[in-house]
Amino acid sequence: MLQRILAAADPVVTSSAGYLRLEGFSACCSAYARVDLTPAAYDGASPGHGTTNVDFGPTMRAALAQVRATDALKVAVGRREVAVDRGDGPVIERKVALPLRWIRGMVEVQAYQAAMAPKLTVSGLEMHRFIRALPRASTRHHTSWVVPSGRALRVTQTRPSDGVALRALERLHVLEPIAHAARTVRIFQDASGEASAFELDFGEARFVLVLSAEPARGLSGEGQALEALARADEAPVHAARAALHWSADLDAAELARRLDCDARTAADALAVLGARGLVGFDLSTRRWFHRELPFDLDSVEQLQPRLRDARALVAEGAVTWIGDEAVIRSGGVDHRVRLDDRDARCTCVWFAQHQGARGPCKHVLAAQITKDGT
Amino acid sequence: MAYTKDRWLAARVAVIATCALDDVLATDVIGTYELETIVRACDAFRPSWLPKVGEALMEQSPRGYYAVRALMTAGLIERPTTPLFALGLVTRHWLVPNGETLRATVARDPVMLDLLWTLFEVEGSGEFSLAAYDKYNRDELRWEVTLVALARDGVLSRPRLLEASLAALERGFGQFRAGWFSRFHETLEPTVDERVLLQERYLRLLASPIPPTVAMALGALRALQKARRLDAEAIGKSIEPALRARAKKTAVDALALVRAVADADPQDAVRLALVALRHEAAEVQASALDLLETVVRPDDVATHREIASSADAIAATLRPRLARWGAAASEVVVDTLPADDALPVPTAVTPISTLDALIDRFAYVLEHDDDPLEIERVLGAFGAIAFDASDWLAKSGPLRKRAKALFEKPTFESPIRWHLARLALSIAGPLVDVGHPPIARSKSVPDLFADRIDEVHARSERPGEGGALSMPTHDDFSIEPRTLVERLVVDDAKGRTFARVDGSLALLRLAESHRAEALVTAAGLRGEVGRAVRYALGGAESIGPTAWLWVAAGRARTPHGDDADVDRAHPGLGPDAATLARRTWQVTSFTSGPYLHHTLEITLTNAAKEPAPRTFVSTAFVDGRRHGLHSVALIRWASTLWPAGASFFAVGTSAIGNNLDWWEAQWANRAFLEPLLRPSCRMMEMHWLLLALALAAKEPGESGLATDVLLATIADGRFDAVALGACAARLLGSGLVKAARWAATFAVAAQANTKARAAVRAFVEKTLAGDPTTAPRDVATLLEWLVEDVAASGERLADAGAIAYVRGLAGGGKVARLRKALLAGGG
Repeated sequence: MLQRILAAADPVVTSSAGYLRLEGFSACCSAYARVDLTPAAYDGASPGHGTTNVDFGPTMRAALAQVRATDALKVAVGRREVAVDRGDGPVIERKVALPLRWIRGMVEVQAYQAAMAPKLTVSGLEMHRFIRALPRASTRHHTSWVVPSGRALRVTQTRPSDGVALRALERLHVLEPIAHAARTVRIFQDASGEASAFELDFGEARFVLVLSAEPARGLSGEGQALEALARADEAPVHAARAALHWSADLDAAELARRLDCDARTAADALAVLGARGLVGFDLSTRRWFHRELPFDLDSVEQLQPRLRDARALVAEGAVTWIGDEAVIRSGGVDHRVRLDDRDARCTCVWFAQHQGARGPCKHVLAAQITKDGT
Repeated sequence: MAYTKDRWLAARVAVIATCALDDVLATDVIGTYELETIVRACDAFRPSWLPKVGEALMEQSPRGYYAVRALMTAGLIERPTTPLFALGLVTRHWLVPNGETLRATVARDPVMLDLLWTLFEVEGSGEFSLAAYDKYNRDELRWEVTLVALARDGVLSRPRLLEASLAALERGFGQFRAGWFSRFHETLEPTVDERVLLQERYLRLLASPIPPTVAMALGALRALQKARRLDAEAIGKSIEPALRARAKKTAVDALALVRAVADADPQDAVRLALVALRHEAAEVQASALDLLETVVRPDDVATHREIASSADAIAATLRPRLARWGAAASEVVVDTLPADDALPVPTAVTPISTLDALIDRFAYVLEHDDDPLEIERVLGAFGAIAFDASDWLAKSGPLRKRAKALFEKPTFESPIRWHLARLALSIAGPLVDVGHPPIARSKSVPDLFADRIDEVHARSERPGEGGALSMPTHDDFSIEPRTLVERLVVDDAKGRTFARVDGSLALLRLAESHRAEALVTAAGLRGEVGRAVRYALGGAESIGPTAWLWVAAGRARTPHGDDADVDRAHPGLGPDAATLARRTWQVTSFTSGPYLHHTLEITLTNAAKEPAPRTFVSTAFVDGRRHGLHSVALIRWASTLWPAGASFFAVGTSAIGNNLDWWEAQWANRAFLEPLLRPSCRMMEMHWLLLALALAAKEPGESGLATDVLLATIADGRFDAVALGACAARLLGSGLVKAARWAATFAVAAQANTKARAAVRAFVEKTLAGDPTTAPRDVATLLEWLVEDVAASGERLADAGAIAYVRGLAGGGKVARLRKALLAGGG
């Protein structure tokens, strides 16, 4: 078990536009973390751009654990390895294959971040004290909300108007060693209150922690990118990909202007590129950045069983539109799907269970595909 | 073919001879039993996987050690290179021959002697770690004792053991497993000279995320400091993480170390003291101020300013000390609590009006049976919405498919879901049978729900003629009286029966407002039902013969007292029928071995000789038993039966009060607290007792929700410091609650807003009542909060009972200091 956890603790490292970004997941895939080092955060040059993923084994972890705030640390990132040196000889880790769950989580988390808005801001000191005051025991059996309380934060068990919903608050303890040093901490959440993000701003560097609604729900299975993938129009996606150029400053409006298309098409193109591991989303700047996850782009749809099933339903001719309602024959019964701009509803069990919060069901996707004629 | 040991062994040999490595591992044929035969089989057949089997067995489990060693001894395989091989040394103690010590076994085994160093490099997991192994073995088999003995005898290098144990602590092992290495290191009792050589490692360990590791490293450095062998400059570079340690003692000890070397670099000492000043514990802040007062130069204006600006980050009791640093009065007293929360208002419930919406919501409640309001909306829609059976059947295919699957697999936890599934399968057809033969229903909540489903099904047979009478009009599950009368008028006109459960619920959920207006419009309601409804609304009526109907009407009319008229007409029905249930409570204690246990006992003082009939809804919880309430769904729905009744809360009080220390994981219990959030919930003794207990619950969900309830009662005006304080004061000396948990939840509640702070303060003062000689040891935590609040608010201790209680507290140390501080401010 421990070996598996350690194996899954390996970061994806991206160098682009002077930024050095390290992304990774918890073993359960319910927590995503990214460190963004701005050019001011390090001395030296960042001449190249690219993405690599390396195994951070016990030696590397031990080396990093011993770094003190006053120590100089040399970091070298190449296409096939990452090396750190505290002055007592370099520790080098080589490129490894990414776990499949990671890849799915990595694409889902971009879509989640893009849909998030800032909810709360506190100082690093208040965040530190808030985390210290959190219970050590598990709180995964019920939803809690983080709410402002004076200049600080507190936890409430009843749904507030301005809080951030979260299960298993103990996951925030990972921030305890660094929160005190942050200038500010911004807390984000998506509109449906499913995932949350904690952005610690250190000035020259940032740390972002994205948490799924609960530990049992890895970000890998959230289905946030499905609608964009189902709607995907390949022409603007190809055009958008050609415009990436390892930029760290991509947004839909600018891309729409450059591609001469409407903002939704550009936003969809970026979402699709995110779902294909070609761009990541930077919550702090609310911009996309180019990075290429090392996996086969053709396998993207194979990683999305709901989308695969939806396409199968369409191929079988299981979708019939009657007025503004799609009737979809599946599993021996007729499911009824209604779509509108803000909402989609289905009569299936998946929808009844999650009410759309974990992405669309295969019936809604099939309806969207046939409605758009994709 | 019968199983025999020989056949089993033969099968294992056959697998070895014929199968691939994956199959060998999957079938676990190598194992430890009859190992000699297995080794001979490997030797005889020499399978192609043999060179790889050592690594594979160790990757699979440390238990493979015995087989690997046997194969190595036979010369069949090389020693595995995986570090996991070493974990074989911490498998079961039968690796040691009977009657021998582990020390003797290791000393004569060069492989073990060499391998044991790897144990300092691999963490292990579960039962396979040094910490786990040593915890469950006697001394002669423990590795700690063995290694110390081998070092003492010169078999193992003592310097290497000292070094390796610290190196292991740098590897990021979990706290339980890391603990073995720090204990082992100290068991070796390093000399000062040895510690000097290890100083750099101790310094690095100050940044460890494991508190006991930091404490151990700090202890080692203090020993060096006492021996005047400490590198003062290195302390400055490394001590910072220890100053932020969660444990107050560690942070204070770290500050002591800074103080000891402050002469070497006073400016660095200032920097480090400022770090400690931002610690959340007042004790650490006080130590930091002590140090700052000795090392900051009078002309260091920048530092003066920085200290002065810390006012909002330090304890109120310490803020006056900032004046010497030039803090302005406004900086010295900082209280930035927000304005009061907005008052919550019950929201009107929108009935379901279309068949599509009904199917959508029905599908939802099948998956979310813990949402009683949606369940009531769905149940209320049957009969209210007009639809054809064919429409229902055409559109509800997925719903019925799901319902069928749920109905066929009933579970103990989800009776509500199961009965909802039964209803889904029964719409537009006969009521689905509940079993063969049908079991007589009891007065349990699941059976009450079953009765309700039967009644809803009966209503559904006449769609469009009117829905359930008991559907709440507001989200606090109350029914606006005028709306109920309107529903009854329609039913009267259609000649519909006043069903028992539906009718009782409708009466018991009646809101207290607008009853007079409703009584006027109810004048035309016919028969005994009409009389009962008018009686419930406050009218003067003669009591009829149907007991359940008049009991419900009487409870609706006089929810918080006895109904003499109903009692006269239907005498002897017991509490929560015509009369109100009355209870007393006490905490009893008993010892069991070395343990002292406390039990909350709630006693019904006006119990009837016979239990109430199951036809009465209001008496569902009068006996204080849970009656099947073991899931959130059931507790939530049960709370809607008679929202004004206190017996439901008595059940919750007993459930939560007797599980405060979380002896048993009863996750559903927190749902007993949820109805207390409703502004319409009138707080009586049992409600306050439940709240006081839950505020001291160990489970964060319970104590957190209780904090929300406390704040809700403060916000909506229900809060009563005297009533809550009376319960808390009795509990304080009972041994049932831990005052420290109260102090933590009170602190959270008090920081919500200014009104909350004042209310909590009043409550705490009322809690400090009674006999101070029975005060628990951790009463100091409450006093600490009080001292800080007195300092922050400037309001002296005012309650005479609290002053007398504090004055009567015995004991020295912290309690004496706090007593003095409080009485100086308020006594």
